[in-house]
Amino acid sequence: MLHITPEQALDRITTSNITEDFYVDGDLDLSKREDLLALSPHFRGAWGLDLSGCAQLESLPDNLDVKRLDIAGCSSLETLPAGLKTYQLIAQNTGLRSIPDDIQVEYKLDLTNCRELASLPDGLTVGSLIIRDCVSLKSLPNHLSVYFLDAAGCHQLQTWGEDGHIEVGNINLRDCFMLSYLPDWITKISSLNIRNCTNITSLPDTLEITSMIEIAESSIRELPPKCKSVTVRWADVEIDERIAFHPEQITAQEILETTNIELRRVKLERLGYEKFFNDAQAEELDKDVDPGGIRRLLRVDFQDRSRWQQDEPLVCLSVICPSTARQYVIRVPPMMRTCHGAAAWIAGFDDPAVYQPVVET
Amino acid sequence: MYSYDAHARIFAGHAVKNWTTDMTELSHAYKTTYAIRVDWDEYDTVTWLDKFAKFMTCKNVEQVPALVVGSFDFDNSIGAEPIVEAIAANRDKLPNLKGIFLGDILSEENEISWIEQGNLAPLLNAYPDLEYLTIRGANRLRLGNVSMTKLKSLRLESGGLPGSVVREIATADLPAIESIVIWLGTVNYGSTLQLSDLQGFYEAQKMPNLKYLGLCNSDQADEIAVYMATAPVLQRIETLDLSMGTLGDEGALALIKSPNLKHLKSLNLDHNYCTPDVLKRLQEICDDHNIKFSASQVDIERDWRFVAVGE
Repeated sequence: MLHITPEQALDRITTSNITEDFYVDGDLDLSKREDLLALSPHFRGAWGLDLSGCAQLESLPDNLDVKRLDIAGCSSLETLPAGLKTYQLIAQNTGLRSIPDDIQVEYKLDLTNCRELASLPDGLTVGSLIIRDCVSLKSLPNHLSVYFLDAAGCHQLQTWGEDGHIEVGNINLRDCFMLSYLPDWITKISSLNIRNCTNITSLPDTLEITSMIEIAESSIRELPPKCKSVTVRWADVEIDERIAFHPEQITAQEILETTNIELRRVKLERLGYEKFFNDAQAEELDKDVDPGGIRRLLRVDFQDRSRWQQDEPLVCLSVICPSTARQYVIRVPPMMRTCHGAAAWIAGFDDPAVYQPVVET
Repeated sequence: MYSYDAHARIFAGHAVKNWTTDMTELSHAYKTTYAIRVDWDEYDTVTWLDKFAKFMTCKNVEQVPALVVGSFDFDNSIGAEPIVEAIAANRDKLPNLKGIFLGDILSEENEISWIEQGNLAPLLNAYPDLEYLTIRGANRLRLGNVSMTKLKSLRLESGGLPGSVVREIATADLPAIESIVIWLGTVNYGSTLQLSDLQGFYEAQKMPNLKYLGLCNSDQADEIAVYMATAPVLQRIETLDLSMGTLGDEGALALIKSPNLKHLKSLNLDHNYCTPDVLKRLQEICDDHNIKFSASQVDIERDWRFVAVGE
């Protein structure tokens, strides 16, 4: 086989009149060649091959020997060649619909935002698998074996494969709205993110997490036994298990005394504005009547440690829904002075004078 | 001074060799600690991860016993987490790895207080058989629940370490640990140390083989000395190292009164702010009990006390 330099390869790579197999010693940069449709079938490989942004590229030669393959943005590429063996495959924003069964990627397979990708091969084994925003993916393959899994934004993901091996690293499942469980074959990992996984109500007892779990807006009610000393985060803020799982124990007084602004915000959200205003000594800025009944504009000031750490006052409009009779407390900008002005702001009006609802239901 | 003015020459018992991209076959890989660094002049064109990818495809890489991660990030935008992921995700290709030095970075490359570390838990989970672990820099540092049955040496150098990290180490399961050295640093550069964070070191029950305990470079050196003076752990370790900090007479007098001091073989109070009289009394006690004593002083006339390494 002919060994050539990246410079020599530039004029051979697309021509069809070369009859001898060749390998490129080094890194071959063919990025952003938007007219590139295919590579020479005699091209056997290179250490690095950068085809990012080759939007017309439809195929790659079989049995490529490339350590680092970058096909990011190859939106016309729907399949990968047979016998692909590589150290790292960067395939963000490609048109890939499936991944061949015999693919071998040692370190990292990055399939971020491959929106047509519908399946992964059984037995897929790779150090780090990134399938962020692969919105067509409904299930993970059987016998998946990875150390890191980033599946954030896989909105349709519902099922894990039968058996598998995920350990050591981080699992990110943020915004996997349809996912309702983690399998019991996931053992010891570093961190888990299940933010906004509203369908996940519990975690398996076999799960061990050594550093961190993010749980904002998930539905879990407790941590499994092997995760008891893990750091718990709610929307990136470190909280304790009481705030996470017993928000009813948070008091308005405690919130007023919390000087860490981020932590206070989380406590407020966990307790709920309604309960907070009912318990706190809120100042009434304005009061009037709308179709639901009495409407009140309420304000609470926080005692802050210094002017550098000052949070703006919490000003909310308390309204009663005309159809359900339920009370709602809605946060508005702190400069609001009247109930009408606040209601106009909520409805999207900058000028309260223009906000004259004919009917409120 | 303080082994911080030059890159590591030996780590994990092996000579350190700077790896360069032309070394596609690693020679004497089984007894060489390779260092991977990105120099200032190549930072625009190559990343640490690019270099590491090439390193991982070298012949004999599976024999490598230890890795040194040198400077990787000159604008502190990335941090060490992608590096941690890369080393951890490659664990099957590094079956003999016994040592990791994460952040062999000199102040001229990046100040110690600027180095972005992050969550290193994946690294510890990926290599539970590590024997040597050194970390320089502590921004956003987190280790998680540490359980490493073969770790012999743990060294954490910082200008200011969060108390939570100190607690993670103090409560760690380290049955083989022989040496722990922590540069605790100062509140000005991120230390949030409370004495209660050190509680795990007081008896160090989960560290039965501990011989060297260094609680160094602290702006609370006096409080630490007072606290550790009564610690049972002093009865079985060989060296107590409270150097590099702001130790004054208060801490030194507590050591003088300590019933446990005589069990030590060595006491290091280099870079202290004690008065000569008190140091003389300590020296006498150390002489009486055959304790090696080192206590170079900082200029005592200063109104302010500084740790040796802050920014």
